[in-house]
Amino acid sequence: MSVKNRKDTRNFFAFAGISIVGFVSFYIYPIVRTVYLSFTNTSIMDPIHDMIGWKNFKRAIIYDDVFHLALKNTFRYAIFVAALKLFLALIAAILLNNNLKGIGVFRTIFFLPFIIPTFAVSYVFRFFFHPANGLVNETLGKVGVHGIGWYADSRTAMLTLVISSLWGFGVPMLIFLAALQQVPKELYEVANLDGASRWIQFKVITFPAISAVFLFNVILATVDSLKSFDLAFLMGHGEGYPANSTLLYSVYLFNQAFRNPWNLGYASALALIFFGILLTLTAINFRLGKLYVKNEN
Amino acid sequence: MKKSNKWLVGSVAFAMAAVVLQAPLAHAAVPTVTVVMPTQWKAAFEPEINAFNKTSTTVNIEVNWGGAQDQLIAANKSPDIINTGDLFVAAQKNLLLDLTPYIAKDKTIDVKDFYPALLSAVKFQGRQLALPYRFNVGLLYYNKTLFDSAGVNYPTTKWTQKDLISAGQKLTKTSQWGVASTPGWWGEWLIHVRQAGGDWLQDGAVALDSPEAVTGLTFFRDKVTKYKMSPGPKDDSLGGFSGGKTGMEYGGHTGNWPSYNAVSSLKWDIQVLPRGPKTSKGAELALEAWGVSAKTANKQAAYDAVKFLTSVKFLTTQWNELRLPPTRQSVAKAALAVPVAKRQSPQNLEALFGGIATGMTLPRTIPFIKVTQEVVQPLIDKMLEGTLTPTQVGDQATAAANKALAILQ
Amino acid sequence: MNQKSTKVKVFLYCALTLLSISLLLPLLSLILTSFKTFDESVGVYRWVPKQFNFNNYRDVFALENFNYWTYLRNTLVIFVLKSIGTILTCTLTAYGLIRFQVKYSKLLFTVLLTVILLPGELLAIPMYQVYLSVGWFDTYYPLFTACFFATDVFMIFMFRQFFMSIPKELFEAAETDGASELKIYFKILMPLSRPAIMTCLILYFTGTYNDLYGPLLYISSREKWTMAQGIKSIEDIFNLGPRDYIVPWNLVSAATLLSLIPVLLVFGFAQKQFMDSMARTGIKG
Repeated sequence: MSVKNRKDTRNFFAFAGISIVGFVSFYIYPIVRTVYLSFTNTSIMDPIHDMIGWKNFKRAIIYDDVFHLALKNTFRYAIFVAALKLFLALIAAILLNNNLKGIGVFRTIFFLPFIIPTFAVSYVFRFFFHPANGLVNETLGKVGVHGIGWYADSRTAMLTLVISSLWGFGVPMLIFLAALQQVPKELYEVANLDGASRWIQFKVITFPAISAVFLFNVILATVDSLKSFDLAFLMGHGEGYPANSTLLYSVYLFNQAFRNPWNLGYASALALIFFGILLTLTAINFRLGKLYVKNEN
Repeated sequence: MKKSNKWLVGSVAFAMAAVVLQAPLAHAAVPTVTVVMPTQWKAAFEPEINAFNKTSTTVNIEVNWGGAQDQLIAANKSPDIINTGDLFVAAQKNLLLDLTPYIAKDKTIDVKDFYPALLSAVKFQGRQLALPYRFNVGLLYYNKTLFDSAGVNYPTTKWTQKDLISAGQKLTKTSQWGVASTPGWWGEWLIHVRQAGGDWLQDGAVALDSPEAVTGLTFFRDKVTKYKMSPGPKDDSLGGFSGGKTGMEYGGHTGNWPSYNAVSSLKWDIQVLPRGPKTSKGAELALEAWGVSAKTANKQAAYDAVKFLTSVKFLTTQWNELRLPPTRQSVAKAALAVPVAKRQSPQNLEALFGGIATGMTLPRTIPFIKVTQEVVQPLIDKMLEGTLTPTQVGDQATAAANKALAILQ
Repeated sequence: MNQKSTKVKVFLYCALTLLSISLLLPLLSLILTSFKTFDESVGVYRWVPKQFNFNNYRDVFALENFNYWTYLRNTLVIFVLKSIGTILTCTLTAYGLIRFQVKYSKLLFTVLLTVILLPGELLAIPMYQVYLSVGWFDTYYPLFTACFFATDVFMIFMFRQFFMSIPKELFEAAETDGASELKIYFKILMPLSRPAIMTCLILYFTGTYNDLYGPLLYISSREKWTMAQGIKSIEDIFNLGPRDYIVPWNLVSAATLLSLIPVLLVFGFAQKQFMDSMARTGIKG
């Protein structure tokens, strides 16, 4: 071992060591403990608990219809929010990718909804989509469309939640914007001279150039929306109101663990099941990514 | 001679010292017990509690205004006095101290003054686990202004469902509803089920598919679809009863009284619920009570504190300042002794206290709230939307609820 | 050569303006609600209030439950602690990852990346037990302790990307000059990292303001509440029994808008830096 190597190794651990400690304490330990908890019936209110084997998992997978509904809701929600958010972010980034005067103002406005705290967002859309005569329904009423219950109707509540979640597309938008600005302008100039249409330009130049970023954003958006909790919790009154239509998995889990019945064991089992699903989906995403990513990541 | 002098002086000095030291020590020995209360009650209760603390020789009450009681219990920092209720005593039976021996040896407490129904609602397996301090009973709320302008007579104690429908329809116009429809929880539909002779739980199993229960559910829906006197989920509820454009509310909650009174344009009163198709029983009776934590270090002191918080004096303050219905009959009597015209809204207090007799508590040995909200209520919401019929709701809710109960037991 | 035709320019301006308006429109409802009276906000719903009544802004401060400045201070305290912890430990880690190319670096980095996949709940439940058992209930420790152990992998990632854009020669020159690694870290790396640090600060500021989950779980005493909890308590003024309690939306929306002021100020102030740095730390493979 060369001296440099040993010195490097020592330095590496000196600098990055804290993250190893953090990783073990705050990630490994909780996972192990969650696995342990999932085989018990631990409840915060009750100091005594026993090992109950696979009971929690059986209950979750076979019997718990509400959990199944929550999973279904979560995946539906995640797919729509992720896809639409990316779509919006990309369009916005394309529109903002120019040097027009005052473009900075527009960029700021587009980013603004992201910085608004979630509790404020829930209020904003509560009033905006008020079924009686909120701004939306009042306007729709003027063009003759009546009777949409938005978040008060179990058939449209999920839609309302999705729209409210899309508001904060600022972060993926900025990431796309940054990537777009990296694309060499000469490529477009050549394409223009060749008479290529905008769509062809996008397909052939833009998309391949940002494909790595696209994959990154896809994974980020998917994982983020699957973990989504705050907005759904607030808009569904903490219980997926109305009629469990906005009940996301994270809200359901929160209620099992930290509200009556404070059943940490069962909640842990739910968390593990969900983690398994998440891993599978990400693996699939990666595989799909191999099909269209042109750069080395 | 000198030696016995020394002894004498010594013992006198010792006796004096003992007396002098005894006084402050005795006062410092008054144990402190903690309790969590909402900050909204601070202005009303703090003076009363402070006055009590000054004079009490057995306990010093320290209030945690605005704390999170459940979290504290979960964190092993339970307050000494726990706010519980009829629905929770069974689940909390290991958390709460049995007060029966303390009540038995207490010569000054008037336990018979509590309404028996309320007292027994927080008794579990023969153990008195708490003393009740406020209650809620389902009532008929009505908007006097709207009744006056429609020329309809105020509801009476003799009303039946027919009268309700008749008045409700007369009060329904454009931009006005006859009766509110209570969505999202069981506060109203369960009353209809019970007044039709059915119930949530019968013989230990969920029985929402019984013909009586379905009759009740059908009426809940018919208010919207058939009689068209109540708003459905897609209609503009015009702000509900507090919006001032709804004639009546069925069931309601006494906890809403301060907020109804805060709406300056709302002139309202209460009446006992109209008689249902089968019976007049069925209004929901629920209550909150003060219990003692089984883990508290000062059991006697905590009991004394609970005794104070449910005393005639304190409950009277509670009623006068906060309008929380008192659980003691003597306090009720005093409230009823005030002439009707001089009473603050709601004036018809006879309905409140009279309603206790027709009230029914909720099942408490099963996770009622969890199962109802997660499994039953969504189906009822769908019924109001029109996607399910009452019979379907009855069948599906019963099956799902029984299944949920089976897993949770 | 970057001359866009006027047609395209007009189109862009129109599209951008239209989109901007529709993005900001929902805020209008919130703003208008803050001008309503109590009766108006619980009564029949009207989009526009009858009069523009500023009382709510005054009444919010008179509420027993709502202590604006205390909650703001509390939120800031948590924000500062979290930021210090993260910036310190994540920059150290990121620096270590790229500067010392040992066989462990790639391994650690890959391992850390997988962390992003972990749902928060998976970790929150056992950590809840741990924090409670060491007596940290009703303190801020559970909210920021993890930050001092480089647990924000997204930040490690961001800093790493940013550091990679700094020319290696700078470090190597300092090394040949005989500077210790720590000195390089403090004297060279940190000053250059201002944009990334600003990004972290802004994201953390909005994140802390946002966080309802954490404070709900761990904070009980009113004096320790964060702004989010404080506003929720205004919602709960009449939540004393009935499930369908009345919410004084006029007060809630006024309080919400007041609470947005610090956020908007911070963002407005640091916005240019933030957007630039987001671009620079953009993913470069």
